[in-house]
Amino acid sequence: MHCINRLTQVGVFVIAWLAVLGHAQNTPNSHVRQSGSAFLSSDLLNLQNDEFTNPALLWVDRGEALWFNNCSQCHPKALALAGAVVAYPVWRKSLDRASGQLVNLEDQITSCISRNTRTQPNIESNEVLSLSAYLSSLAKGLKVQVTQPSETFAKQEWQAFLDRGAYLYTTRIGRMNLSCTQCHDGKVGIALRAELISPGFLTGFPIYRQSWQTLGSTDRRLRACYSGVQARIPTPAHTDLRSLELFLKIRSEGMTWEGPSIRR
Amino acid sequence: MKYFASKKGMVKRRFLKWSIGAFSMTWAGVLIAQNKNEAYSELALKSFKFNPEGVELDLPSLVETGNSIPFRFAIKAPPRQKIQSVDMVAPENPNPLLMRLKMSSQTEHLRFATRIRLATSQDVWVIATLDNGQKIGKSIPAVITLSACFDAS
Amino acid sequence: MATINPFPIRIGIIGESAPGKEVEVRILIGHPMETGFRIGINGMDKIPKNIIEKMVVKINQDILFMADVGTGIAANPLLQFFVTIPATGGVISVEWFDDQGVSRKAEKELISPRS
Repeated sequence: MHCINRLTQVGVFVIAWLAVLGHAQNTPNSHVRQSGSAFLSSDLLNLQNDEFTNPALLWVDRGEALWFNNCSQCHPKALALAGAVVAYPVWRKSLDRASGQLVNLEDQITSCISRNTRTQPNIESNEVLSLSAYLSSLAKGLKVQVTQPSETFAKQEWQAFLDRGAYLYTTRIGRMNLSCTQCHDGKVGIALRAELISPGFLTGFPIYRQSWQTLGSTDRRLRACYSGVQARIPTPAHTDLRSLELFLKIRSEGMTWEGPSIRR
Repeated sequence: MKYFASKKGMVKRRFLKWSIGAFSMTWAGVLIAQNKNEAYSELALKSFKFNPEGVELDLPSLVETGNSIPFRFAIKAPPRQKIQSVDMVAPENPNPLLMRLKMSSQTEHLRFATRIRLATSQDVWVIATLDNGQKIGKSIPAVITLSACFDAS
Repeated sequence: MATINPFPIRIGIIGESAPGKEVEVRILIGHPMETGFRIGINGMDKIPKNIIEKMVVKINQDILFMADVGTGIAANPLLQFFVTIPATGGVISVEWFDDQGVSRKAEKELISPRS
């Protein structure tokens, strides 16, 4: 019995991996992949597309002001960083250890801010989210393209993070004993009360989630997923969350970035 | 006092207890209703019978989130009259008066939209007070569906 | 770091912006509109109430309307209404006051070269 369970685990792992490899080789699958916007009601979609009523744009405005008053001193052209939005998370060597860590857009912004001022902003603070929203809006239309590091050691570590992400995606967790793939691959389009299950691609972060009544990052949304299946929620910026984000970004490769989006 | 100790007194005592109880509960009810924004309880609204002519409301009938619901209305005052103020009311909300618009003196026709919060499924009312004190108003029902997943992020 | 604007306001004019014409005005105000009913992360303490209580919308110096606002208005409030542009043009302005003593104002030209 135990070895059958193990076999099933390995089997699922292999299938998830094949899916990842398939995307990495640009198999023509994009016509069936839909972003979360396709699962919004017409009211919310209209809200997203209207520049005068979309609340996410308040953060974009703030981000633009912050950029021109601060960041532009080192980064004169914000548009040059738009590619980072669709390429993150990236592997970065830690300052204090030989090993590295995955860094996402909000982590990078927080690190830049703390290096240049003497503050340590929270990754969900308005400052960080405004800059993230501004850069995200500039990346609208770009295709998601995650890059592997070239140096051997970095590549190995990156691969380990990706494996971890794939493992997390296919493992059941929480009181509800659900894995991500069960709903987000197996039950796409099915209604969970009033919500339609989307496939969970990363194409439009940060998001203005109606239930939060504010903007939030990918990190927060993934933590909300853990909460949704009644599992113990990882702390913000946990490596599991970054590994999962890396896996999900690769799974979304080739899809068009939509900029900051509205979600239920 | 000795009277109350007797059997007949016991009946009288029970009667007094119950009548005092009923009396105070009625008053408590009135006070609670008054605390909950006076005129805007569901019962009071239903009993007022506002003239609905000239008021058009638009609200999605099935709402997926109670946090932000697009709500729009149009009010046309009867001829030779002006709109003085407009109340948007959701009687089942903890604070039923959502917004009160106080118009400038010359408003005859008003089209307005905003986003409201609804605590639960209910009727949403728009009540306009005209310059002669007359009130016109209408309601529209909304059903709120609950979100599927609990979010403790 | 220069402080972030905690309360941005976006005003949009939709329609042909010429004197005498009716245009739609959309005002989007950045404000958390915290009701005071939500419970914070620790599961016990309520997040303190912080809502806009009053808004004043003017065309030039004339008040178009004043609004008394309650907890039932969604976060980042939106006001959408129609105005007729005066013959001499001018600005539409909105000013809000919240229960923490904060207030902000923004205005926009009704007639602009590109509406």
